[in-house]
Amino acid sequence: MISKIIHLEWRNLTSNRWLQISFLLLGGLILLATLNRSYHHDKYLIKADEVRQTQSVEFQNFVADHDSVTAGLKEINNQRINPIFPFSLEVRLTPQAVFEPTGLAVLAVGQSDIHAGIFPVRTFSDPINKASVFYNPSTDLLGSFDFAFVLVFLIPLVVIAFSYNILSEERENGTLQMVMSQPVSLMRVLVLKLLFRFLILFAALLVILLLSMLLAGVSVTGNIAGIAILSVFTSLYLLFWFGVSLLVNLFGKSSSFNITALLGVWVFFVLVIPTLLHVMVENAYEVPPRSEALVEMRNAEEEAMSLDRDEILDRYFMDHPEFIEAAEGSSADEQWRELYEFYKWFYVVRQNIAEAVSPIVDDYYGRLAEQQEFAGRISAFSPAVVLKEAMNSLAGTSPAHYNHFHASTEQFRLEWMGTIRDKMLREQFVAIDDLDTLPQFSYSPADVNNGFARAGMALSFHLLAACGLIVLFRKRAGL
Amino acid sequence: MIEARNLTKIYGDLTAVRELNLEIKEGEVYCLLGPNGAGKTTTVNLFMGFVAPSDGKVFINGMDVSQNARETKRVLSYIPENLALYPNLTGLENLEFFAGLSNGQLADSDLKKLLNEAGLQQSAFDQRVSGYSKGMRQKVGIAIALAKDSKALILDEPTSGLDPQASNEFARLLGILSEKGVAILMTTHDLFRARETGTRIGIMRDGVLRREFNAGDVKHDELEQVYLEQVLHNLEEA
Amino acid sequence: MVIRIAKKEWKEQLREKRFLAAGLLMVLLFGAALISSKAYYEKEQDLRITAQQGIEENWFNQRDKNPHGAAHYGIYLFKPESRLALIDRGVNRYAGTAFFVEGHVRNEAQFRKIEDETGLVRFGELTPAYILIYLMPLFIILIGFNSFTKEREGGTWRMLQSHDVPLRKVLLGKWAGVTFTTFMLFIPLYILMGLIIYSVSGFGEFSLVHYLILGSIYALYYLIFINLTLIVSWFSKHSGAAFITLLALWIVATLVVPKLFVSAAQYINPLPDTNSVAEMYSEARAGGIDGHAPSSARELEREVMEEHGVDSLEDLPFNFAGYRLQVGEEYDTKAYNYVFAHIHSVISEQDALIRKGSLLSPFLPVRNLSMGLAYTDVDNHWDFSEAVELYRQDFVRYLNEDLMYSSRTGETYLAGSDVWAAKPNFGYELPGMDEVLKAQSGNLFLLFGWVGLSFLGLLTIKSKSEES
Repeated sequence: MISKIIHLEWRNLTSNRWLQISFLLLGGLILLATLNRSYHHDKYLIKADEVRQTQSVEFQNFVADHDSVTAGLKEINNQRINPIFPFSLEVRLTPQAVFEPTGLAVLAVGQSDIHAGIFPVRTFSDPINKASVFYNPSTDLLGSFDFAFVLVFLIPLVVIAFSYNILSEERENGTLQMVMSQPVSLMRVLVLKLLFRFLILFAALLVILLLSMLLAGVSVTGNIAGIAILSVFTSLYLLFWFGVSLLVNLFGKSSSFNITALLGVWVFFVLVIPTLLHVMVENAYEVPPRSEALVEMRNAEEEAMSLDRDEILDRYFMDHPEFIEAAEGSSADEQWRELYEFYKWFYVVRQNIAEAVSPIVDDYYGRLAEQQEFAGRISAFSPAVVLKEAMNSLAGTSPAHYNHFHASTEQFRLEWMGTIRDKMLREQFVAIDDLDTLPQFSYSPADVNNGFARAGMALSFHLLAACGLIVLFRKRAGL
Repeated sequence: MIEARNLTKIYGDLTAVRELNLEIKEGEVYCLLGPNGAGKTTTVNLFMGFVAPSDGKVFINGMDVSQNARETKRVLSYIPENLALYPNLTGLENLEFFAGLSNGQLADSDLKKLLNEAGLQQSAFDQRVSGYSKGMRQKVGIAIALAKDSKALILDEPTSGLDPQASNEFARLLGILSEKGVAILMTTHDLFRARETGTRIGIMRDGVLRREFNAGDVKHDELEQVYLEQVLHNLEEA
Repeated sequence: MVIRIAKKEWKEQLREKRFLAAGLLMVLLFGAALISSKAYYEKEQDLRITAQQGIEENWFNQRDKNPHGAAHYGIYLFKPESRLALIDRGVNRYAGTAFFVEGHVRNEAQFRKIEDETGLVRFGELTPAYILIYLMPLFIILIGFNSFTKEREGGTWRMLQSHDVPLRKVLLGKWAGVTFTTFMLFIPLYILMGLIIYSVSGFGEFSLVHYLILGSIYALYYLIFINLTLIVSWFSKHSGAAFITLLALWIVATLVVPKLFVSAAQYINPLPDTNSVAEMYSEARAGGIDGHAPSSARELEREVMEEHGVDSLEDLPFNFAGYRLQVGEEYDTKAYNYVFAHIHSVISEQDALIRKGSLLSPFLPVRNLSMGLAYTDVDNHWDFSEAVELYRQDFVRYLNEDLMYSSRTGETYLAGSDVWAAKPNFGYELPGMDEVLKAQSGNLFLLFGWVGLSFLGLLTIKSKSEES
């Protein structure tokens, strides 16, 4: 029987012009989407490379300068860029925070169109202003084109368009009674038909995905785990939509009813639920506005600056007497001392501002993470949202990734500031060995909770729910 | 009055109706018999103006259908095998709608009177048509014909699928209409019904009107025999 | 007769549970959108007022310092949301809300709301405009897709034909039926929304004419979809096919075309990144704009002393430091204007390219018009940004001139709270409706084009009719 159904379905498939056209069209769209993403991704990688290269050149220059200065071969008048003076690290070896999506970044834009991926981190960088980039808000609003969009939004419509009348058509053509008078279970026939269609669609998607990855120059073997996860999620998602199609057919209504009902389901899961969830998230988890941190920061800055320099330092040394001792053993002469005095004050002021602002900043990043966690949980209401977020996670461009990136950047800024501040307070010069122990910014998408387990569970739940309802209504439909 | 002169309809290689000449006078009920594919429905479609003739002319009430499509429809009613009505409207509303398309607004009481006359039970007036049986729908169709004050009525297999009682009732209604002077053309497979209701009977095959009788002149057996001859002839050729 | 058919259509729609359910859902969603949009608007307005007050307090309470130090300290200006943003938030979530006003530098707006969002918002934002622009066409498709196909499938088409009804009147009747249902839903909702917006205290006047023009734009948009729906229903064999076709058209118009054109715009006219902007700025500053570099400090000193006929800077009637800062500032401003004009032109080119998508999608001109009339589009963002820039120039000039005229060259001068208190005030008014309409004339033209085209499409139904 199976071979007969497959044969019949294959005949249908090969003779259905519309089906072929829409397959081709979607294939083209996916190809276009992936190549488009890969163009922007490659551009980004090149830029990141350039930044790293510039950094390594600067580092070599710095080391060379340092050697010449310590050997007495070179004299630098502007001490701010003198490699033996700690402040030069801020200016000459400014660390760059570089965001890294995964190898599957070509799959989903995620939030990468919103955030800058590369920016310098300095002691005096703003803790809450997420790097300045120039943006066109209208393109961001409409959103760009990626594989995730095609898969999440358009593919379900293909499933619906070609399965909405799987049972109702037989009834309307009058062939239903013919099938039912045969010694086969109609239910089995329907399920087999849908499974066959699922396999065809899935295989086509996989082929076009691999093809576009090849064309985009993305390694397949290097991302095999990601592709496997994507395949599982895609299967669950497709099966869910096939299941819903079957379910609606079981109600025994006309084809015209089925198609409107199915598209109602689509609108509900893809358009209505996400916007409602967004309202829910926004009201349940209010993220403190960054303007609050801004006002606080400016207050702290003014407060610190309005005090007498000596007073600020005295207060600080009261809590940190170790620096007084350390500075006494310094080899710096009188001229250097004066410079160190200024920068001691400078860094202590920065430290004070950071301490005043950090509760707000921590609160901000913490609340943002909580909000994202909550959104992740309630996304389970819609398989479309689950899949889209999972694809963003696979691409390493999800909001959680960027949140982690920005929070790490801020953490790194404090670390960096601390290192230079300590050097200033101890009145130490930069030794060549110090360069190895400078804090290094590191970010890896692997450190972020990808939520795949939860996504898999949510998608499976939706599929199971659809199957459960099918079993329930199967009895009612008398099949 | 319904009249066909030299009426011919050709679809590609197929001649669906060939040189049909027919005249149905006021008060006459003409039953057109014939096997499937004989050209009955094409004839009906030609009379209704749904399709244009390849040759010849159709006159309703003396007006050429192809020249005066709209005027003829004002005096012409149509009841197909499966009389279609709007399922979400009630019988009364359907009647009001269709009757209104030709005659403008009719009073509610008049419409009810018409439905009564057509034999629809009172309780069904305000029920949606989606719950109607075929017989009930056809009663609404008759009521529409009555409301239009039709001069001619064309029915395409109206009794197929009706139970004998409903058929009888339907025949009675046709009788009322013919008494009012309506010219009626009805296609059917039902020889018995044709002889009972019709005043004249025609047998068609392969688009050609083969035989004509006066209903009163022909016995049932005789009619059946002639009809079977025609059908068998058809089968042999096929 | 047309009215009779329209009435029949309407009666049928009213009795169809699907339509009732969809209509109810639309009303509920619209209610939810209104409530959440109003709450968001009020919260956001509050937040910005609080932030602006905080920043002003920072400013007024700052310690005595050199005016130039104050220029570096700067202030922030928060962009108020127009009252009509309650309908259509447009790009507001995607554009920065806070402008840092400081010496030497023109900044792009910071604190984009979208940076603090989960991925959910990328699916769409529950605002009245979302319902009116995205979902309403779907409702129209739902009530109209089987206008003709159901008659054919149910056999009533033949019944209609057996009566004296010209197709033109059937068409008009059906058109009137669908239009009536659509506007029975739209008009009360729109009036309700108007009352709510009127009652909200907010930025910008509530002008009835303005509101009605916005409403007419939505109305015209619906006419396009009503016409398209009827055309497709006429040419389709089955209801299912009609629905799929219409839905495909909807998806292409609202999702696929906009995204494709956005991708194309980003590919053809990429925005410059931070580094290349910085380079462009340095080049412009080094004399790239008008061919000569700014005078060096030495030269400037000489020029000024010559002009005033004095031999030393101390003899000048003002503090040379302030003068030099102001000259430098003006030069910086020129360079920044050049750079920002370039960025603006790239954005305009991107938007112009996206606007070309309007030829394939009636959604795009309406999206733009809706944002434009609600003062939430990119134009408005730039308009505000330019106003801030003009203010920035005033602000910095004020501080430089204070330094110039309150002290002499070489003196240590600290300005105090009286100087901070007398800073220039920032005022911004939304452009008038006529200006907006003028700026949107292209989109209006495209919208009218689509309306005209769709009515022409309806006419083709007539010519094809006679056969069946």
